[in-house]
Amino acid sequence: MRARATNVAASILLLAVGSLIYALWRSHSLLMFRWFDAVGIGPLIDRSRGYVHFIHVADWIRYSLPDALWASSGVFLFSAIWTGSRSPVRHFWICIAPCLAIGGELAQAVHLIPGTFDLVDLATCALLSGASVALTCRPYHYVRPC
Amino acid sequence: MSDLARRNLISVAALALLALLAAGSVDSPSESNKSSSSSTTPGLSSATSSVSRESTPASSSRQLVHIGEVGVLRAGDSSGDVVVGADKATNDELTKMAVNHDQEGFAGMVLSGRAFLVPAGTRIRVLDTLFTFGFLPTGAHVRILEGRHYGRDGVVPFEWVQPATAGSTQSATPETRRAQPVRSATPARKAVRTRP
Repeated sequence: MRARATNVAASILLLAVGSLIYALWRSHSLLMFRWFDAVGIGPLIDRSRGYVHFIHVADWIRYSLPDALWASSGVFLFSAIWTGSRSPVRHFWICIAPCLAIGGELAQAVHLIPGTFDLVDLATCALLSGASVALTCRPYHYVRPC
Repeated sequence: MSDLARRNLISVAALALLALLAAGSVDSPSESNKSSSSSTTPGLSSATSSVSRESTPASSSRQLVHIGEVGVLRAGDSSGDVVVGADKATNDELTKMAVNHDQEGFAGMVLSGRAFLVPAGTRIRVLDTLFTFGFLPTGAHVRILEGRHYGRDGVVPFEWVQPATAGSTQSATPETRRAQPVRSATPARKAVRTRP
């Protein structure tokens, strides 16, 4: 049970960090800012962006890290769901988020989906997802029954 | 339901949640409309905004003008002048006067220079958002970008700042804050001093 809670907490934390980067440093043109406006926290986000605008954030943190964090968060989330299971299906689910992220990036490279292929995106995503899978695939975390 | 089916079901739900979050990171389709609010070419933006207002009134009325962007001042559905307080305290006082129907107090504020009038639709730039209780947006610190008070800054109720593309919307601030009493007190001066 402790492993499941740890994985859920890690997943939420990674998602929160990624979302924070998006909300504070990315362009207003993103759909999420319309959502922020719709739920009434748009001005609060604006104010927060004003507080942090002087903080220089490296491009790879601003543009590449959030997607990698999303993929890693998926790894932890699905690990939490499949904690204690010995079904081989668990491997599919645990790898689905990194596969979607990396696959999406590769699909951009061959113009299957719109977007700009970026090697830094790919490397960040692969590294962080790999690290997350390595962490969660330890037997203690999800093979051992709760 | 077996354990495997239950876990698969939860996994599908988790994937849908992750997909929803990922959807937020794509460009907003309405952004092209919104960008006209920060345009510096008023002629072109006003022409295109009237078209988008007709086609999508519901969505445009929900759009906010963010800090640093250009919008227009409009007191709800009124086409009359808008009273701008010189500072936050004046704005609070004006709202209180509106609630109390204190028309004389209104006129006094304008005559003393603590508040001033601008025509509805005046272009402004949002400098800051003022919060109540630290999170409820109630006021907007704005810079006037055209007309007689060009360059002057002031504070207005938050909902009076609207995108240049938006039509008139209902305002929560009482209608008596919409300048009719004060305008009638100084009709000639306003007409003479208004800059084209």
